[in-house]
Amino acid sequence: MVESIIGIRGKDFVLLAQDANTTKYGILNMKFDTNRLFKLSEHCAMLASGEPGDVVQFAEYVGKNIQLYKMINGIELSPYACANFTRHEMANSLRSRNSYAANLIIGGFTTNDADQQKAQLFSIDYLGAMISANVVAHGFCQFFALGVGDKLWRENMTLEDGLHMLQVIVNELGKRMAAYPHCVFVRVINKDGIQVLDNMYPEKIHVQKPEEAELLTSADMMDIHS
Amino acid sequence: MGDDIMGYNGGVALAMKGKECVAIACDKRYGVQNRTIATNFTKIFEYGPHCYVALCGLATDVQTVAERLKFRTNLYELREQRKLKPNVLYNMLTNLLYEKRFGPYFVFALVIGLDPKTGQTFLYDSDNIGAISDNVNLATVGTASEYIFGLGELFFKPDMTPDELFEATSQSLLNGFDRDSASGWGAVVYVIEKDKVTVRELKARQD
Repeated sequence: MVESIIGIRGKDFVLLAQDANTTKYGILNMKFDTNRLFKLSEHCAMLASGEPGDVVQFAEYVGKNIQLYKMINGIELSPYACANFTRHEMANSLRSRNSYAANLIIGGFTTNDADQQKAQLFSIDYLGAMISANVVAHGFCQFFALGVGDKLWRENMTLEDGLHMLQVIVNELGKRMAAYPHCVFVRVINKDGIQVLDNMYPEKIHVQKPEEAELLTSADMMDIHS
Repeated sequence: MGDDIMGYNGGVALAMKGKECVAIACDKRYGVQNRTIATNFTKIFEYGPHCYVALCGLATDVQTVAERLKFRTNLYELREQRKLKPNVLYNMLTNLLYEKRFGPYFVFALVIGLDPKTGQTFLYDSDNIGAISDNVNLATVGTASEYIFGLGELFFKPDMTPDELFEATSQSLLNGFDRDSASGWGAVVYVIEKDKVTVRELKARQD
Protein backbone atom coordinates (compact mmCIF):
# COMPACT_ATOMS: atom_id res chain seq x y z
CA MET A 1 0.00 0.00 0.00
CA VAL A 2 2.86 2.31 0.79
CA GLU A 3 4.66 1.71 -2.49
CA SER A 4 3.65 3.96 -5.36
CA ILE A 5 3.26 2.86 -8.94
CA ILE A 6 1.81 5.20 -11.54
CA GLY A 7 1.14 4.93 -15.26
CA ILE A 8 0.26 7.77 -17.66
CA ARG A 9 -0.79 7.29 -21.27
CA GLY A 10 0.12 9.90 -23.84
CA LYS A 11 -0.31 10.23 -27.59
CA ASP A 12 2.24 7.60 -28.59
CA PHE A 13 4.00 6.74 -25.37
CA VAL A 14 3.35 5.37 -21.92
CA LEU A 15 5.08 6.75 -18.83
CA LEU A 16 5.70 4.31 -15.99
CA ALA A 17 6.81 5.71 -12.65
CA GLN A 18 7.54 4.01 -9.35
CA ASP A 19 8.92 5.10 -6.03
CA ALA A 20 12.23 3.52 -5.16
CA ASN A 21 11.91 2.91 -1.42
CA THR A 22 11.62 -0.40 0.39
CA THR A 23 10.28 0.07 3.91
CA LYS A 24 10.24 -2.38 6.78
CA TYR A 25 8.25 -2.47 10.06
CA GLY A 26 6.53 0.75 9.04
CA ILE A 27 9.52 2.89 9.98
CA LEU A 28 12.74 1.72 8.40
CA ASN A 29 13.73 2.78 4.92
CA MET A 30 15.86 -0.17 3.93
CA LYS A 31 16.58 0.52 0.28
CA PHE A 32 16.16 3.61 -1.86
CA ASP A 33 16.85 2.24 -5.31
CA THR A 34 14.31 -0.60 -5.53
CA ASN A 35 13.31 -1.66 -9.01
CA ARG A 36 9.66 -2.51 -9.47
CA LEU A 37 9.64 -2.69 -13.26
CA PHE A 38 9.60 -6.07 -14.99
CA LYS A 39 10.16 -6.19 -18.71
CA LEU A 40 7.63 -8.36 -20.55
CA SER A 41 8.81 -7.77 -24.10
CA GLU A 42 10.68 -5.18 -26.16
CA HIS A 43 7.75 -2.76 -26.06
CA CYS A 44 5.86 -3.81 -22.96
CA ALA A 45 6.63 -3.65 -19.25
CA MET A 46 4.91 -4.22 -15.95
CA LEU A 47 5.11 -2.34 -12.65
CA ALA A 48 4.18 -4.44 -9.63
CA SER A 49 3.57 -3.59 -5.97
CA GLY A 50 2.11 -5.35 -2.96
CA GLU A 51 3.30 -8.33 -0.90
CA PRO A 52 7.08 -8.42 -1.51
CA GLY A 53 7.53 -12.14 -2.30
CA ASP A 54 4.34 -12.43 -4.34
CA VAL A 55 5.26 -9.41 -6.47
CA VAL A 56 8.55 -10.85 -7.67
CA GLN A 57 7.28 -14.43 -8.05
CA PHE A 58 4.22 -13.47 -10.07
CA ALA A 59 5.96 -10.82 -12.16
CA GLU A 60 8.81 -13.14 -13.12
CA TYR A 61 6.40 -16.01 -13.86
CA VAL A 62 4.35 -13.84 -16.22
CA GLY A 63 7.41 -12.24 -17.79
CA LYS A 64 9.10 -15.54 -18.56
CA ASN A 65 5.93 -17.03 -20.02
CA ILE A 66 5.52 -14.08 -22.35
CA GLN A 67 9.11 -14.43 -23.49
CA LEU A 68 8.53 -18.18 -24.01
CA TYR A 69 5.60 -17.33 -26.29
CA LYS A 70 7.94 -15.16 -28.34
CA MET A 71 10.51 -17.95 -28.56
CA ILE A 72 7.96 -20.54 -29.63
CA ASN A 73 5.87 -18.43 -32.00
CA GLY A 74 8.39 -15.85 -33.13
CA ILE A 75 6.15 -12.82 -32.55
CA GLU A 76 5.92 -10.33 -29.75
CA LEU A 77 2.63 -10.17 -27.87
CA SER A 78 0.89 -6.79 -27.86
CA PRO A 79 0.41 -5.08 -24.48
CA TYR A 80 -3.30 -5.92 -24.68
CA ALA A 81 -2.50 -9.61 -25.08
CA CYS A 82 0.10 -9.51 -22.28
CA ALA A 83 -2.39 -7.80 -19.97
CA ASN A 84 -5.14 -10.31 -20.73
CA PHE A 85 -2.78 -13.21 -20.13
CA THR A 86 -1.66 -11.68 -16.84
CA ARG A 87 -5.26 -11.06 -15.75
CA HIS A 88 -6.16 -14.63 -16.56
CA GLU A 89 -3.28 -15.98 -14.46
CA MET A 90 -4.19 -13.66 -11.60
CA ALA A 91 -7.88 -14.67 -11.71
CA ASN A 92 -6.97 -18.38 -11.86
CA SER A 93 -4.66 -18.08 -8.88
CA LEU A 94 -7.30 -16.25 -6.82
CA ARG A 95 -9.31 -19.39 -6.08
CA SER A 96 -6.33 -21.71 -5.76
CA ARG A 97 -3.88 -22.62 -3.00
CA ASN A 98 -1.47 -19.87 -3.99
CA SER A 99 -3.00 -16.47 -4.62
CA TYR A 100 -0.77 -13.47 -5.25
CA ALA A 101 -1.32 -10.23 -3.37
CA ALA A 102 0.17 -8.09 -6.13
CA ASN A 103 -1.22 -5.02 -7.89
CA LEU A 104 0.05 -4.44 -11.39
CA ILE A 105 0.27 -1.82 -14.08
CA ILE A 106 1.02 -3.03 -17.60
CA GLY A 107 1.98 -0.47 -20.21
CA GLY A 108 3.37 -0.65 -23.67
CA PHE A 109 3.45 0.33 -27.29
CA THR A 110 1.92 -2.12 -29.72
CA THR A 111 3.89 -2.96 -32.84
CA ASN A 112 0.82 -4.54 -34.41
CA ASP A 113 -0.30 -2.33 -37.32
CA ALA A 114 -3.93 -3.39 -36.92
CA ASP A 115 -4.23 -1.73 -33.48
CA GLN A 116 -5.55 1.82 -33.75
CA GLN A 117 -4.42 2.96 -30.37
CA LYS A 118 -0.70 2.36 -30.15
CA ALA A 119 0.01 3.35 -26.56
CA GLN A 120 -1.79 0.95 -24.23
CA LEU A 121 -2.05 1.09 -20.46
CA PHE A 122 -3.79 -1.37 -18.15
CA SER A 123 -4.24 -1.76 -14.42
CA ILE A 124 -4.83 -5.15 -12.77
CA ASP A 125 -5.60 -5.37 -9.10
CA TYR A 126 -4.80 -8.28 -6.77
CA LEU A 127 -8.18 -9.92 -7.46
CA GLY A 128 -7.68 -9.94 -11.21
CA ALA A 129 -9.94 -7.09 -12.33
CA MET A 130 -8.46 -5.38 -15.37
CA ILE A 131 -9.22 -1.92 -16.69
CA SER A 132 -7.70 0.29 -19.34
CA ALA A 133 -7.40 3.98 -18.48
CA ASN A 134 -5.34 7.08 -19.20
CA VAL A 135 -3.95 7.46 -15.68
CA VAL A 136 -3.57 4.44 -13.41
CA ALA A 137 -2.00 3.99 -9.99
CA HIS A 138 -1.92 1.55 -7.09
CA GLY A 139 -1.42 2.05 -3.39
CA PHE A 140 -1.87 5.23 -1.37
CA CYS A 141 -0.61 7.30 -4.28
CA GLN A 142 -3.85 6.41 -6.05
CA PHE A 143 -5.62 9.13 -4.08
CA PHE A 144 -3.21 11.73 -5.45
CA ALA A 145 -2.45 10.44 -8.92
CA LEU A 146 -6.04 9.90 -10.06
CA GLY A 147 -7.13 13.30 -8.79
CA VAL A 148 -4.27 15.12 -10.53
CA GLY A 149 -4.90 13.00 -13.62
CA ASP A 150 -8.58 14.04 -13.73
CA LYS A 151 -7.49 17.68 -13.76
CA LEU A 152 -4.40 17.65 -15.98
CA TRP A 153 -4.77 14.76 -18.46
CA ARG A 154 -5.73 15.74 -22.03
CA GLU A 155 -5.95 13.94 -25.34
CA ASN A 156 -2.70 13.74 -27.34
CA MET A 157 -0.37 14.71 -24.51
CA THR A 158 3.28 15.11 -25.41
CA LEU A 159 6.10 13.65 -23.35
CA GLU A 160 6.83 17.05 -21.75
CA ASP A 161 3.19 17.37 -20.67
CA GLY A 162 3.28 13.85 -19.26
CA LEU A 163 6.46 14.52 -17.31
CA HIS A 164 5.06 17.81 -16.01
CA MET A 165 1.94 15.99 -14.78
CA LEU A 166 4.11 13.35 -13.17
CA GLN A 167 6.19 16.01 -11.41
CA VAL A 168 2.98 17.55 -10.00
CA ILE A 169 1.97 14.13 -8.67
CA VAL A 170 5.41 13.46 -7.18
CA ASN A 171 5.43 16.89 -5.49
CA GLU A 172 2.06 16.12 -3.92
CA LEU A 173 3.32 12.75 -2.73
CA GLY A 174 6.35 14.43 -1.20
CA LYS A 175 4.25 17.05 0.52
CA ARG A 176 1.36 14.94 1.78
CA MET A 177 2.45 11.30 2.15
CA ALA A 178 4.02 10.36 5.47
CA ALA A 179 6.02 7.71 3.58
CA TYR A 180 8.12 10.23 1.70
CA PRO A 181 9.25 9.00 -1.75
CA HIS A 182 12.88 10.08 -1.85
CA CYS A 183 13.26 9.21 -5.47
CA VAL A 184 10.94 8.16 -8.30
CA PHE A 185 12.23 6.08 -11.20
CA VAL A 186 10.69 7.09 -14.53
CA ARG A 187 10.61 5.04 -17.72
CA VAL A 188 8.92 5.72 -21.04
CA ILE A 189 7.79 3.15 -23.59
CA ASN A 190 7.34 4.29 -27.18
CA LYS A 191 8.01 2.93 -30.66
CA ASP A 192 11.72 2.74 -29.86
CA GLY A 193 11.18 0.47 -26.85
CA ILE A 194 11.68 0.99 -23.15
CA GLN A 195 13.89 3.93 -22.16
CA VAL A 196 14.93 5.02 -18.70
CA LEU A 197 14.49 8.75 -18.07
CA ASP A 198 16.00 10.88 -15.32
CA ASN A 199 14.87 10.23 -11.78
CA MET A 200 12.23 12.52 -10.39
CA TYR A 201 12.41 13.99 -6.91
CA PRO A 202 9.69 15.69 -4.87
CA GLU A 203 10.09 19.46 -4.63
CA LYS A 204 11.74 20.67 -1.46
CA ILE A 205 9.16 22.08 0.93
CA HIS A 206 9.99 25.46 2.43
CA VAL A 207 8.39 26.03 5.80
CA GLN A 208 8.49 29.42 7.47
CA LYS A 209 10.52 29.63 10.66
CA PRO A 210 8.30 29.97 13.75
CA GLU A 211 8.18 33.56 15.04
CA GLU A 212 9.98 34.73 18.15
CA ALA A 213 6.66 36.05 19.46
CA GLU A 214 5.40 32.47 19.82
CA LEU A 215 8.18 31.76 22.33
CA LEU A 216 6.92 34.41 24.70
CA THR A 217 4.89 33.04 27.60
CA SER A 218 2.76 34.91 30.09
CA ALA A 219 5.38 34.23 32.80
CA ASP A 220 8.04 35.99 30.72
CA MET A 221 5.83 39.02 30.43
CA MET A 222 5.64 39.36 34.24
CA ASP A 223 8.65 41.30 35.47
CA ILE A 224 9.28 39.64 38.86
CA HIS A 225 12.75 41.08 39.51
CA SER A 226 11.98 44.78 39.59
CA MET B 1 -19.05 -1.76 2.51
CA GLY B 2 -17.05 -3.92 4.89
CA ASP B 3 -17.55 -7.57 4.05
CA ASP B 4 -20.05 -7.16 1.24
CA ILE B 5 -18.43 -8.87 -1.75
CA MET B 6 -21.20 -8.10 -4.19
CA GLY B 7 -20.91 -4.38 -3.41
CA TYR B 8 -17.07 -4.27 -3.43
CA ASN B 9 -16.85 -2.97 -7.01
CA GLY B 10 -20.41 -1.68 -7.46
CA GLY B 11 -22.34 -1.53 -10.71
CA VAL B 12 -25.82 -2.11 -11.98
CA ALA B 13 -27.64 -3.42 -15.07
CA LEU B 14 -31.25 -3.40 -16.23
CA ALA B 15 -33.19 -5.15 -18.99
CA MET B 16 -36.71 -4.59 -20.29
CA LYS B 17 -38.93 -6.08 -22.99
CA GLY B 18 -40.95 -4.32 -25.64
CA LYS B 19 -42.89 -5.37 -28.72
CA GLU B 20 -40.40 -7.34 -30.85
CA CYS B 21 -37.56 -5.48 -29.17
CA VAL B 22 -35.52 -5.77 -25.96
CA ALA B 23 -33.29 -3.28 -24.21
CA ILE B 24 -30.36 -3.82 -21.87
CA ALA B 25 -28.48 -1.08 -20.05
CA CYS B 26 -25.66 -0.76 -17.53
CA ASP B 27 -23.60 1.89 -15.77
CA LYS B 28 -19.88 2.43 -16.40
CA ARG B 29 -18.32 2.78 -12.97
CA TYR B 30 -15.41 0.66 -11.78
CA GLY B 31 -14.57 1.33 -8.17
CA VAL B 32 -13.08 -0.25 -5.10
CA GLN B 33 -15.46 0.31 -2.18
CA ASN B 34 -15.81 4.08 -1.90
CA ARG B 35 -13.08 4.96 -4.47
CA THR B 36 -13.85 5.31 -8.18
CA ILE B 37 -10.94 4.07 -10.29
CA ALA B 38 -12.29 4.14 -13.87
CA THR B 39 -15.42 5.23 -15.69
CA ASN B 40 -15.27 3.04 -18.78
CA PHE B 41 -16.14 -0.37 -17.32
CA THR B 42 -19.27 -1.55 -19.15
CA LYS B 43 -20.85 -4.76 -17.99
CA ILE B 44 -22.64 -5.86 -21.17
CA PHE B 45 -21.13 -8.54 -23.43
CA GLU B 46 -22.25 -9.77 -26.85
CA TYR B 47 -22.50 -13.47 -27.64
CA GLY B 48 -24.44 -13.47 -30.88
CA PRO B 49 -26.17 -11.08 -33.27
CA HIS B 50 -29.18 -10.83 -30.96
CA CYS B 51 -27.86 -12.25 -27.70
CA TYR B 52 -26.44 -10.08 -24.92
CA VAL B 53 -25.47 -10.79 -21.33
CA ALA B 54 -25.00 -8.28 -18.52
CA LEU B 55 -22.92 -9.34 -15.51
CA CYS B 56 -22.80 -7.38 -12.23
CA GLY B 57 -20.85 -8.06 -9.08
CA LEU B 58 -17.17 -8.56 -8.30
CA ALA B 59 -15.27 -7.11 -11.28
CA THR B 60 -12.74 -9.91 -11.56
CA ASP B 61 -15.55 -12.50 -11.70
CA VAL B 62 -17.49 -10.38 -14.24
CA GLN B 63 -14.45 -10.60 -16.53
CA THR B 64 -13.76 -14.27 -15.75
CA VAL B 65 -17.37 -15.39 -16.36
CA ALA B 66 -17.53 -13.30 -19.56
CA GLU B 67 -14.31 -15.00 -20.80
CA ARG B 68 -15.39 -18.53 -19.83
CA LEU B 69 -18.80 -18.05 -21.43
CA LYS B 70 -17.16 -16.71 -24.61
CA PHE B 71 -15.00 -19.84 -24.71
CA ARG B 72 -18.05 -22.11 -24.50
CA THR B 73 -20.08 -20.14 -27.03
CA ASN B 74 -17.17 -20.10 -29.49
CA LEU B 75 -16.86 -23.88 -29.25
CA TYR B 76 -20.63 -24.24 -29.68
CA GLU B 77 -20.53 -22.14 -32.85
CA LEU B 78 -17.62 -24.14 -34.24
CA ARG B 79 -19.21 -27.50 -33.54
CA GLU B 80 -22.81 -26.66 -34.47
CA GLN B 81 -21.92 -24.32 -37.35
CA ARG B 82 -24.69 -21.95 -36.35
CA LYS B 83 -25.19 -18.93 -34.10
CA LEU B 84 -26.53 -19.20 -30.58
CA LYS B 85 -30.14 -18.79 -29.57
CA PRO B 86 -30.90 -16.85 -26.37
CA ASN B 87 -32.28 -19.80 -24.39
CA VAL B 88 -29.21 -21.90 -25.28
CA LEU B 89 -26.97 -19.08 -24.08
CA TYR B 90 -28.96 -18.84 -20.87
CA ASN B 91 -28.68 -22.57 -20.23
CA MET B 92 -24.93 -22.45 -20.83
CA LEU B 93 -24.59 -19.61 -18.35
CA THR B 94 -26.60 -21.32 -15.61
CA ASN B 95 -24.56 -24.48 -16.13
CA LEU B 96 -21.29 -22.51 -15.89
CA LEU B 97 -22.42 -20.85 -12.66
CA TYR B 98 -23.82 -24.00 -11.03
CA GLU B 99 -20.54 -25.85 -11.65
CA LYS B 100 -19.12 -23.60 -8.94
CA ARG B 101 -22.05 -24.18 -6.59
CA PHE B 102 -19.84 -24.59 -3.49
CA GLY B 103 -17.31 -21.90 -4.37
CA PRO B 104 -19.35 -19.58 -6.57
CA TYR B 105 -18.55 -16.68 -8.83
CA PHE B 106 -19.78 -13.42 -7.30
CA VAL B 107 -21.83 -12.23 -10.28
CA PHE B 108 -25.51 -11.85 -10.96
CA ALA B 109 -26.48 -12.10 -14.62
CA LEU B 110 -29.07 -10.92 -17.11
CA VAL B 111 -29.47 -12.64 -20.48
CA ILE B 112 -31.50 -11.04 -23.25
CA GLY B 113 -32.25 -12.09 -26.78
CA LEU B 114 -34.50 -11.79 -29.76
CA ASP B 115 -35.48 -14.25 -32.47
CA PRO B 116 -35.02 -12.22 -35.70
CA LYS B 117 -37.54 -14.32 -37.67
CA THR B 118 -40.46 -14.44 -35.27
CA GLY B 119 -39.71 -11.36 -33.16
CA GLN B 120 -40.07 -13.39 -29.98
CA THR B 121 -38.25 -11.76 -27.06
CA PHE B 122 -36.31 -13.43 -24.26
CA LEU B 123 -35.21 -11.99 -20.96
CA TYR B 124 -33.73 -14.12 -18.18
CA ASP B 125 -32.41 -13.19 -14.78
CA SER B 126 -29.90 -15.29 -12.83
CA ASP B 127 -28.37 -15.18 -9.37
CA ASN B 128 -24.76 -16.23 -8.79
CA ILE B 129 -25.47 -19.97 -8.73
CA GLY B 130 -27.69 -20.10 -11.80
CA ALA B 131 -31.19 -19.96 -10.33
CA ILE B 132 -33.67 -19.71 -13.20
CA SER B 133 -36.27 -17.02 -13.58
CA ASP B 134 -38.64 -17.61 -16.46
CA ASN B 135 -38.91 -15.23 -19.38
CA VAL B 136 -39.73 -12.01 -17.46
CA ASN B 137 -40.63 -8.52 -18.65
CA LEU B 138 -38.22 -6.60 -16.49
CA ALA B 139 -35.10 -7.53 -14.54
CA THR B 140 -32.29 -5.74 -12.72
CA VAL B 141 -29.06 -6.81 -11.06
CA GLY B 142 -26.44 -4.91 -9.07
CA THR B 143 -26.06 -2.65 -6.06
CA ALA B 144 -28.88 -0.28 -7.10
CA SER B 145 -31.26 -3.02 -8.25
CA GLU B 146 -33.94 -2.32 -5.64
CA TYR B 147 -34.13 1.35 -6.65
CA ILE B 148 -34.29 0.52 -10.33
CA PHE B 149 -36.92 -2.22 -9.90
CA GLY B 150 -39.32 0.30 -8.44
CA LEU B 151 -38.88 2.75 -11.31
CA GLY B 152 -38.88 -0.03 -13.87
CA GLU B 153 -42.26 -1.32 -12.69
CA LEU B 154 -43.57 2.23 -12.90
CA PHE B 155 -42.34 2.97 -16.44
CA PHE B 156 -42.99 -0.44 -17.94
CA LYS B 157 -45.97 -0.88 -20.30
CA PRO B 158 -46.69 -4.05 -22.28
CA ASP B 159 -45.84 -3.92 -26.04
CA MET B 160 -43.72 -0.77 -26.12
CA THR B 161 -42.16 0.46 -29.37
CA PRO B 162 -38.34 0.65 -29.52
CA ASP B 163 -38.33 4.40 -28.77
CA GLU B 164 -40.70 4.06 -25.82
CA LEU B 165 -38.64 1.14 -24.58
CA PHE B 166 -35.44 3.19 -24.79
CA GLU B 167 -37.03 6.02 -22.81
CA ALA B 168 -38.42 3.73 -20.13
CA THR B 169 -35.11 1.86 -19.73
CA SER B 170 -32.96 5.00 -19.63
CA GLN B 171 -35.15 6.87 -17.17
CA SER B 172 -35.40 3.91 -14.78
CA LEU B 173 -31.66 3.35 -14.89
CA LEU B 174 -30.56 6.98 -14.56
CA ASN B 175 -32.90 7.92 -11.74
CA GLY B 176 -32.32 4.63 -9.94
CA PHE B 177 -28.54 4.67 -9.88
CA ASP B 178 -28.44 8.33 -8.84
CA ARG B 179 -29.51 7.05 -5.42
CA ASP B 180 -26.59 4.62 -5.17
CA SER B 181 -23.04 5.77 -4.52
CA ALA B 182 -21.50 2.58 -5.93
CA SER B 183 -23.03 2.95 -9.41
CA GLY B 184 -23.16 5.66 -12.00
CA TRP B 185 -20.56 7.69 -13.88
CA GLY B 186 -22.29 7.23 -17.22
CA ALA B 187 -24.56 4.64 -18.79
CA VAL B 188 -24.86 2.61 -22.01
CA VAL B 189 -28.17 1.35 -23.44
CA TYR B 190 -28.49 -1.33 -26.14
CA VAL B 191 -31.87 -1.60 -27.93
CA ILE B 192 -32.13 -4.80 -29.94
CA GLU B 193 -34.70 -5.00 -32.73
CA LYS B 194 -35.24 -7.58 -35.48
CA ASP B 195 -33.05 -5.81 -38.01
CA LYS B 196 -30.68 -3.66 -35.95
CA VAL B 197 -29.04 -2.98 -32.62
CA THR B 198 -28.79 0.63 -31.43
CA VAL B 199 -26.19 1.51 -28.83
CA ARG B 200 -26.56 4.83 -27.03
CA GLU B 201 -24.42 6.43 -24.33
CA LEU B 202 -26.39 8.43 -21.79
CA LYS B 203 -25.35 11.71 -20.26
CA ALA B 204 -25.54 11.07 -16.55
CA ARG B 205 -24.47 12.81 -13.36
CA GLN B 206 -20.71 12.33 -13.12
CA ASP B 207 -20.62 11.28 -9.52
